[in-house]
Amino acid sequence: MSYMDRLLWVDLGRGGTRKTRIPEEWKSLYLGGRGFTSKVLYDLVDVDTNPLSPENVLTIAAGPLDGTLSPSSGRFTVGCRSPLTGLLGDANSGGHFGPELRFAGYDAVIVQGRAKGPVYLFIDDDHVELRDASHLWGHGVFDTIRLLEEAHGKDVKVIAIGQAGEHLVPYANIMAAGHSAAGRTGVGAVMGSKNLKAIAVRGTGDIPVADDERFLAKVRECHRKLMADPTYQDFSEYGTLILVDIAQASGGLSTRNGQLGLFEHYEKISSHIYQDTYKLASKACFSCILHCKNYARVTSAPYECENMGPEYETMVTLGSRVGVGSLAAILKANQLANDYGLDTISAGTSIAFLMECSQRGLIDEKYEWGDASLVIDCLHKIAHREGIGAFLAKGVRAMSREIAGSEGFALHVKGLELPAFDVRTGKGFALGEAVASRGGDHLRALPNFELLSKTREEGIRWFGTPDCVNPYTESGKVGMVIWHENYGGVCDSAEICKYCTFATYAVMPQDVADLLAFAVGRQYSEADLLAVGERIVNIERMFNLRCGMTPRDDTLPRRFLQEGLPEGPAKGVTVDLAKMLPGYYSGRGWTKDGVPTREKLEELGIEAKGVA
Amino acid sequence: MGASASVDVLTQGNDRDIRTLNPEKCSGCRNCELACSIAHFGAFNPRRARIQVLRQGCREEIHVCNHCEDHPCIAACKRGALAWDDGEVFVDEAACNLCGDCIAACPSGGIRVFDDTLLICDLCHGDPMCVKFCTTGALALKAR
Repeated sequence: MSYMDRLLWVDLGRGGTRKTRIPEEWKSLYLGGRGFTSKVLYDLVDVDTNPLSPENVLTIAAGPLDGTLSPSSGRFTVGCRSPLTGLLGDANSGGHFGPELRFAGYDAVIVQGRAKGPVYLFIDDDHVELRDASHLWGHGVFDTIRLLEEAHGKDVKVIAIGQAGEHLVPYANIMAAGHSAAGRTGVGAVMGSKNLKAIAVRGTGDIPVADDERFLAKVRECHRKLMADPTYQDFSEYGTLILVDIAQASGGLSTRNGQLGLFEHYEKISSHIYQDTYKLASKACFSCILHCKNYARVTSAPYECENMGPEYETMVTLGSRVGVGSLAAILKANQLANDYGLDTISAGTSIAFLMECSQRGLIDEKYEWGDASLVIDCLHKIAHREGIGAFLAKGVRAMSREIAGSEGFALHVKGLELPAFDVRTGKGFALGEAVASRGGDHLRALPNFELLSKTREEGIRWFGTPDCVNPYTESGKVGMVIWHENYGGVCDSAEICKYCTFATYAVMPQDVADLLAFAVGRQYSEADLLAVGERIVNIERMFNLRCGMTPRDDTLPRRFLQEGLPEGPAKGVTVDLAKMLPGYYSGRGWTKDGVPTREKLEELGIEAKGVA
Repeated sequence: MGASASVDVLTQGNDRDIRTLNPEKCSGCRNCELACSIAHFGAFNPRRARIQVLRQGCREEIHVCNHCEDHPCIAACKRGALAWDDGEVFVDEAACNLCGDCIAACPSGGIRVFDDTLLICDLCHGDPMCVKFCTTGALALKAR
């Protein structure tokens, strides 16, 4: 029940596919989605595996609630070793692909090897076939999807890479439906290195659940709780763009590569302006009642475009972070990035880094803040690795190694460019991004609790300390971050969107436990479930340590540790990780050097591999 | 513009109500398809749903039987497999040979065949599940 109980293994080198049952241990200990992708990585990928070699394993996994009415549960995770960080790579996307894969009868697809020439994988329920993709190679994501729909019918769901993935840009995305991005750590480059252009799937099968009546009642209860949550109204109306306003208000709207936390053109990129100018509609991913996706159209030259988005991350990283205050230009840049299959966070942050190098005279060329046509030109060039694009395509860490004196403002952790939020204005986020298993990433922890103006009483009730609701202090953050990381592991493995579990704080672990119980037909306690999340955090930590990461890498760019913001509510604030990291390591049951102890691994049922 | 919602849309219908379609409010979440399929077939499967939402750019097309007063599907059926009773189209599965004449006759694209079954909305006999799980107001009930 609820699991399709089939894995699809694809060997691109031999051109063969096979189907196996899911090991019982995977289901009980890792649940699905990110749990599966990280488990596969830990078990099958070696420390000496080059991320862009045939030996890297690319896993696309849905969760046991995908395809059901469970709220916002249509996501999927792609995992592999990252070509950008050299560590664990994964990216999570919404859209409609995850459910379709399950309707076709598979919980996950595991891709190994490299095809001799461009291919795509066509899954039509039981029928699975590798097909020539020569005619698709060189096309952007939009054309690729259109051509596959013309070939196989409008009802196929497609994930594809664009030119960025083909050119092995280490922050290339895998795109679902042309606007939902599996968009971090360069999973698209790994797909490109395998000569796999796309996966098209049609699924017409049933997904039964163990107890229809109680499952549906639980879904309704979750819907009611979501709709009663104050954050729900904002998200359903404005989408994540509401965060642009929140960031500006808290003095953390990342501007000019994080030199500032207030953007002088904020009014031009605010959620209300977007709403009143280019927005046409609110759209939803599969089974989601938040419908936070925005659909917009620009009809005037030179930035005519029509696409879903942007969301908050893109509005900042291709907007204020590069100093661009033209909403139309940001929309156009977002559309281009989606078509090329580029991570907007990494691309925008790489361009911002170059602009700051120029500002400081560390390079001779002039790259001016706010030059929208330059940003758009850079995106073209990154995707094709042409001219300055070849340099930008290396990512911030590699670029800064070639420019003396730039290290302090290279906005990355462990090689992954940092997302939009300025962590000086949220210390829980700062800790979360310093320790996240995929590097500079906010979604592993996403401790929104500290940002939502919760009361001190709520802080005590939820995490035992009133300080957890004050975003500017390091105190009281450890327990909150660990809870969010563990529950986040559950959400990513059940493939429930975190916006319905902890942006709204409506759907809680016991709710997910109930949804799973009524779907899968086995009992989960809240503690069981959070242990799954903890297990995933630990196995990912172990994979990274095996790959050579050290706890010294649990840090942030010097900018955030030493430079206070010059103005606004967070004026002068810096991050003191030393106040949080020791408590975090001990709270996790790790050594003072940040290594999971033998006892912790035994407790979680993880076999120590390759780490002393 | 945007889909808006309030808690009170999660209401119960009764058999005096008819369903109204407001596609401009539809977000394309497809909860209606899922609710329909589990109600009628005991499993989630949009292809078994008697309602279908197709995204065209930023628009959602909602295809479902609108229970129109002149019900051309019934007139089109040469085998007498369809009948009108109290606001619903009833399918006599034994008489239906899946010829598709009713599908061609339906003005709203609301009839489909999947897995040798003719799929026509029966409004869940008065309390349609699709409406129950629609939170945007794209599907609503109004008194007949």
